[in-house]
Amino acid sequence: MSAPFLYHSVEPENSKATYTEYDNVDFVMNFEGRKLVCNTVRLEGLLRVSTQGVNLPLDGAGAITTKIFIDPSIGIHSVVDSIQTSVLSLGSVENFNGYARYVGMTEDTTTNNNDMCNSENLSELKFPMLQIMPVLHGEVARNNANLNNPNSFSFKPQFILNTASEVNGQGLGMSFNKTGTIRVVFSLTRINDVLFGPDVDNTTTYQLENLRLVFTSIPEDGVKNNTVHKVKYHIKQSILSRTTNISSNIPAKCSGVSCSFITQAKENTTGDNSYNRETYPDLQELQFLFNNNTNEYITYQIRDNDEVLLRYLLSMGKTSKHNRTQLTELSGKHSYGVGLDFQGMIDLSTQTFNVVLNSNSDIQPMSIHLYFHSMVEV
Amino acid sequence: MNRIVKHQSVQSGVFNGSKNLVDFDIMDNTQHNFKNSYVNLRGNVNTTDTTPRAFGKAVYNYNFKWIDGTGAPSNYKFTNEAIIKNARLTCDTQSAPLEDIRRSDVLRIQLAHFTSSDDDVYGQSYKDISQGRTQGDLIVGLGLDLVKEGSRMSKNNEVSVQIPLNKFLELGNMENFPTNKLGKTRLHLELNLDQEKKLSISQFQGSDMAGDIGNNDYLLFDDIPAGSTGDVETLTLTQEFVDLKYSPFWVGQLLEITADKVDTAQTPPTTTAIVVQRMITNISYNNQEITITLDESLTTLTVDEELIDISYNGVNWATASLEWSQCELVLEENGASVDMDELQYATYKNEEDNGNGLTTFSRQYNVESECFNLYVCLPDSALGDLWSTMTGGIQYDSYRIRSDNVDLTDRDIEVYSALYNDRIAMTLLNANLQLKSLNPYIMDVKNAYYNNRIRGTPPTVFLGNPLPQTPTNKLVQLTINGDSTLGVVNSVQLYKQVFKSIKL
Repeated sequence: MSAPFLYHSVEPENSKATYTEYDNVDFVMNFEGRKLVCNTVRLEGLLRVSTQGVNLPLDGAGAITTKIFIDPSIGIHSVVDSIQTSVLSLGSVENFNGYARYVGMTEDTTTNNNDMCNSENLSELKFPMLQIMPVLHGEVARNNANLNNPNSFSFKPQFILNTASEVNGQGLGMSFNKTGTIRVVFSLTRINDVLFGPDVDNTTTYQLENLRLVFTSIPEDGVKNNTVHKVKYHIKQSILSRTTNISSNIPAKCSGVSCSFITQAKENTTGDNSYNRETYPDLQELQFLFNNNTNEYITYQIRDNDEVLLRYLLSMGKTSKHNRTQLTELSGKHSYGVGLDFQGMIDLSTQTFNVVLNSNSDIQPMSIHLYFHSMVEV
Repeated sequence: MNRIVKHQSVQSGVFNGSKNLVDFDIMDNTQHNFKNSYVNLRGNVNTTDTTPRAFGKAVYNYNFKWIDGTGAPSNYKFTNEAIIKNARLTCDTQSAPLEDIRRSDVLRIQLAHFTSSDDDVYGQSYKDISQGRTQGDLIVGLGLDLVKEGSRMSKNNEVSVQIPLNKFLELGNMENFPTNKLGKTRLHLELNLDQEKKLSISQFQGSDMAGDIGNNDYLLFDDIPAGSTGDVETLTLTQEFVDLKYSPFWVGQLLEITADKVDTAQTPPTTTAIVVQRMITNISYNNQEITITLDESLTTLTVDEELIDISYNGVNWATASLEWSQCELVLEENGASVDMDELQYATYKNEEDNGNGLTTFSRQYNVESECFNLYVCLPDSALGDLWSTMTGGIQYDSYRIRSDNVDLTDRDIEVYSALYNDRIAMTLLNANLQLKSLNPYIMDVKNAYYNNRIRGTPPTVFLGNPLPQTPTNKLVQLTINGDSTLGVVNSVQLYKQVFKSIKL
């Protein structure tokens, strides 16, 4: 008799002692005769950060002396640049680029600093503020207080297998008979995107060890159920002038779009956080146009900062009252975004969707990351 | 597809203490999603400089404050719904108002206190007129665009205050408000906009910079040693900031800088005190160091001169005025209508009373048969007649409510006792509201982030109880036992939550 509930642990197909920037980590999920329980997939392993060829030292109870950080609200997700998921019977089902930034946007709009102290976030190496970020400095070894072990982590990637909803109350199981093996490929981010701070230099590096993908399964019950999964389409474009019109065609029906910004000069640098969700300077008008038509949905130009933020928060989800869009955070160039919840599924493969941004000031070249929210049924 | 449209108020601005009535006409062609709709009050903060700078007009940080009983701005955080004093919703097909809630401000502040956790409060602070201190103990006023890096000038943008309909109307929670059945609908509001008595503006990070930012380490710049000749136009803050959000500076900020210029060539060295006002024109943030550039040289140094003990303070504005220019309704029109033939909802009816300074207050009220919840608010005149608090200590020892001569509790409910907390939970549950905080203290925006809701501020008092629905009106007796030395009952606001049903 098969076990009612099984915990699986899968090692990478391209098994290595350590993984670092630009590496691809391939996992093949095999659960023959069973059903994968969606929303239970986690990536676990160890993280080691070193600079000048030595591991970051353990710090005492006082201030951290080596100032190397990861984005505190993204945590270990920072090391993931993209996730490709393909199902044997269906082919590629999601190619999630710009992954870590999206995690930051999710946390900005659904959690606050205090929430980062919850164990679900601590296990993902997230922290309430930069000042208390001992995670990169290792764990104290049990028998030797002077020895630091690499940091263990376990995080739940926000990708297709973890964003499922059941259909008609038939459960979150995904039958192996229907899917076959599932391949998940994590592409690791370049070091300068993951790590930042005054002490980051070209010798600073991160390494992942003992990687494994874990998930749970239940026995095949013969019920032919479907599951609905949220997927994202990511587009990155440049903003070079005061008035910008970003036009997109997405090969899917979408329920909304969320965007964040970063100054191009601050991307991929050692000192600055490449995942910062910066404020758009002196935004005076924001419009979302379907087929270049101004009369659909929002019938006016959005000019108020609080309405910009309201629409952004709604675009990222309506479930939480917690967020980090306090005005002090925004003035510090954090937690900002623009977005729109379409209030329904709109086919963007047959019409263009435009985001029009108009600033009153000259702006330095910026990048805008657009994430379109869509759904697929498996 | 739904449409979001803006309706201007029937009355034109400027709105103020004497012109504070606002009406909106809602067309009867469709159904409306009131849950996603809000009233938007727009205004401008205009400031003048005491000593104008050639570079341009300075930008000042501020916060909105509620005027207390003495006419001074209080430091207690309030939510946007406090701006709406009375709210009424009427429609063409019904002779009686759909909702008519008087002193909505007192009720909503009371409910917000118990139904929002601190994290919820911070979660909506991006649109809050009253800003509490956040991580780093700073505040940025609503409508301000403070630029903390670069040379772009900070700006006083238009202030827009969102007040969602569901924060002052119970029908505001409806996603399909049937104007197509109810006919033309009118929303009538009376606003608390009197700057002398209700809502004012106060400067933050003015001449009490040390008090406002609460950390003297933030006030010191690096010394400039002898040998650095020429004009002093840039200064580096001694304190390093791991995150730019903690920086107390913005471009366009006016500072009063004090320093000692020491001539080391003299024996003994001579010291000249410098006290000047300068404006920040550029801020660079590099490797956690903040360097500001000034609009004019602080002083000119010769080779033997050094500049030491450089510190700064904020500068107060000469005048600041607040003008509410527009009020609009941002309304979501539904693309599709839902069939309905009856509208059932709950609303509040208000009855105002006065205890005339009694220590023990006991009075009987005739309450509607369909009333299922009773809230008693005791707005504190010392805090501007808004919060139900006890500024003079624990003024009220206990209370008790009887309905048709039946005691609703087997003993007096002592404030802050377990039974008292139980009644709060029970009353809110009966109203389908989530109890999220039993912390009685209201948030003090003057206190630091970590202790802004810990002891020290006046505690809120909640009096309430579910009531049974009865076939006829019921007689409800309210008894409040005040402390023998402190207890004085004055303004009493009774809110009766009632069911309503309308055939469409």
